[in-house]
Amino acid sequence: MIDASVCLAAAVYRLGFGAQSEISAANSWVTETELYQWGDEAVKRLSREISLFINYSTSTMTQAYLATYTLSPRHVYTLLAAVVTTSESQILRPTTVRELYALDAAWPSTPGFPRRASLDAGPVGTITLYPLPTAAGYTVAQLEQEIPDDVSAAAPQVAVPAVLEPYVTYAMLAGARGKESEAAMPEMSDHFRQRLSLYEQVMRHLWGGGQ
Amino acid sequence: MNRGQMAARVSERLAEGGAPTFYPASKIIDGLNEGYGFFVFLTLAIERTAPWVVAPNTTFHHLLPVFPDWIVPLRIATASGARVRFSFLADLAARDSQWLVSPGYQVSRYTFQGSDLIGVYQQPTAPQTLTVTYAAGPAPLTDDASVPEIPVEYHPALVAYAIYYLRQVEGAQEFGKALKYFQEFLEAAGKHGAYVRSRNLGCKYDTVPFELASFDHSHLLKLRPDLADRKVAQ
Repeated sequence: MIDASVCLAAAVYRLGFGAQSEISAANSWVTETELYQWGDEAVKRLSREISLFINYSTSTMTQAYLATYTLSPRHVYTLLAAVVTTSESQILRPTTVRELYALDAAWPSTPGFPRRASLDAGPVGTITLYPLPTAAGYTVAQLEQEIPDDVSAAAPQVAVPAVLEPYVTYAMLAGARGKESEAAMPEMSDHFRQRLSLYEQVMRHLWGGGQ
Repeated sequence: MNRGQMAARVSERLAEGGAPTFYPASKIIDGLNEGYGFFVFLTLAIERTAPWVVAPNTTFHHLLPVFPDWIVPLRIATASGARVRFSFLADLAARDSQWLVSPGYQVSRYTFQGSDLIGVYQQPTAPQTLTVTYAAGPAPLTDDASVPEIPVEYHPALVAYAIYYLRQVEGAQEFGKALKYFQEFLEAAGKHGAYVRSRNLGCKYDTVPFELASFDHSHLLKLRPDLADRKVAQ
């Protein structure tokens, strides 16, 4: 677990401030809010680039004769989908809508126990099951990458290994030194971005790439 | 070297002596700790082995709440020492189409997803204790007597990193002078990472450290040529 407020404190000195309170002073060239925003953007970038935030979601339940279900607003991509009942599970084979049409011309209305899932048969942000589940109450389980909560002063915690704390610090430093201001240091911003790139390559090796 | 000795060396090399003012002592310590964490992240140099009680009738478990210093799993074994083998999702599905809900006497395989999500096969029907060996992040060096858990021959790399860290505030050519220290640090991390990698392969661990040589350092170790002295940065 990392705490973005610790990351921010670690950036203060390297931004040329003597103390964190100086950032809050009027006319400061950078604000704490901005630093949290750069930290938040870095975490969001990780949620699409690195397989860091994988969760097993079981919040969706089937309804009788309903094929399409809305994905969680946090959903980024699906690694595995399954329909789980009290006694068994059926792993759903990922299938494109073209394949569904090739398989069954009447696929939208074919009833049965779901065996396939399509992420492009319905609107963006939905998952479509084939065949149509005939019973309600089955769990649509997904092993999915999720977007973590927004990083802010009020919610600074991110559920990733603590060794990644400097990643968020370097994102704050890169953003601040790249910002148009009297304290801008484009060469340092460039270097800090290179540091982020190195972190990301190591993360990709350890935990896998994202989208 | 302990933290106090390393901090003194950093201070001396920045011409600050025993009472650092421009580079405060607290920031020297921050630099040493950041370097220590980064070295361990690059090399997976610290490993821990601890028991983990698997909750019954559950396939997926997050391990960060169990092991706060968690990075990646290296090996999982049963209490009797039998290895719990790593498997990809496709392997588990090929082995047992019901693997997501399959109950069993004991866990024989696991899959690892995300930064800390472990899926076990088969789900134990009663709490089962497994022995988890994992790569761990370091505990911060909290006092001057603290000694880093990495081999002593790499402690000077932390001194080099702290100098690089402290000069980040200056930017441009002044910072360019410190990049050679960062290069020194990366070379040390690359060397130790190679040792840990071969050791982990020999131990049949499930994860090896990142191969630092595969990363293009050329941009990292020099500043933009239009803004800094290239000769110094190289």
